[in-house]
Amino acid sequence: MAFTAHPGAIYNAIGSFNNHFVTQLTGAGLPAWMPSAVTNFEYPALPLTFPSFSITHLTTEAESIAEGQNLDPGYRGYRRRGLAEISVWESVQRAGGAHVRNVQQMRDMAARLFATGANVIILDLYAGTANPSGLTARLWCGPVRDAPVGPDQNPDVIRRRLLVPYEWLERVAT
Amino acid sequence: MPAREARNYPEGALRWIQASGTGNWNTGSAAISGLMGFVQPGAAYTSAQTVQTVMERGSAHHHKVTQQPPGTVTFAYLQAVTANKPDPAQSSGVSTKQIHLELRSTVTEDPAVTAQYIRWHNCVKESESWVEGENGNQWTETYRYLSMVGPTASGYIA
Repeated sequence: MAFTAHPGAIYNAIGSFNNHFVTQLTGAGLPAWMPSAVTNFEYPALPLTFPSFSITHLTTEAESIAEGQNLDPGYRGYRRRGLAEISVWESVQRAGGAHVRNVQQMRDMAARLFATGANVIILDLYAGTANPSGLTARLWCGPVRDAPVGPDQNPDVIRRRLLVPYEWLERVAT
Repeated sequence: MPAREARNYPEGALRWIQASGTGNWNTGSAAISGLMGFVQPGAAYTSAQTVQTVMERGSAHHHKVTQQPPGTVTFAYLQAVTANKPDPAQSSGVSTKQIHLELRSTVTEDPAVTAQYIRWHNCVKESESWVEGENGNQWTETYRYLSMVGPTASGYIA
C-alpha cells in the first residue's frame, strides 16, 4: 500500500521552506558580481561552487498546544518548531578582497526573505513537486540569527552562517 | 481492580451542544454542536454548597445542606475557526442561550471503559474575554451551569 502522508508532514514543511527560498531569493535582484543564485541542500559536499547558498534543516521539537491535540476541526497534532541553517559560500580568490563584500551581500539576500517574518504556504509535495498545490496550512519563518562559524578546513573557502527558526502545525487528519 | 492512570490534558476533548430545558440533558433535534479545538491548559470548574452543622447540647451532631448554588466552568481556546466557538441558538422553552459541555478523557489502558466523561448541564455564558498573543490569540469563556455529572463512563456527544 502506498504511503499516505499527513498534511503536516515534515517533507511538505521543509520542502515548502526550500521552495520559498529558491523562488524568492532573487526577488530583489542579483548583485552585479553574481552570475546566478545557486542553492544546494542538506550538507552538500560536492560540487561546492562559488558563490553559492546552502540550506540544511537541523532539528525539530514538538510542543503541545491543544487539549487532546485537537486543532481545527478534522485535524489533530502538535506545533513543531524547526531550525534551518543557511550558509553562503564564496572563494577567497576574488580580486581586491571582494570575497568579504560578497558573503555579506549574500547574507543580506538570504536574510531579506525572513526579515519581517515570513508566512509560507505549506505545499502538498507528496502529490508532486512540479506544480504543488497549497495545503491551507502555514509555515512561519524567521527572522534569521547570524551564527558564528569557524575557519573552513579549505583555505579557499569563506562562509557566513545563518540560523532560521520556523514553526508549523504537524497536522494529522482525524 | 485494573490499574488506572491519572487523567490529563493531552487525552481530553471538550465538546458543546445546544441545550434546552431546565437542568437535564435535553437538546433539540440536530442541535448545533462542536468539538472545541486549540483548547488551552487550565480548564476548570467550581462548585460549592452551604453546609450548616446542627449542634446537640453544645456539640456538633449532624450536618444539613441548606443551599447548592450554581457553579461555573471556565475554559480557554485559541482563535482559529469560528466553528470552535460555542454559538448556540436560543431554542424554545428556555429564556437564554444555553449549552451543555462535555469533557471526554480517553482511558487508553482499559478498553472496557474507553473514556471518562464530565458533563455540565444548561450552561449560560457569564463572561468572555479575548487577548491577543504571540503564539495565538486566546478566548476565555466562563459559563454558569445548573447541574453537573461525572466522572461517568458514558457520554452523550462523543
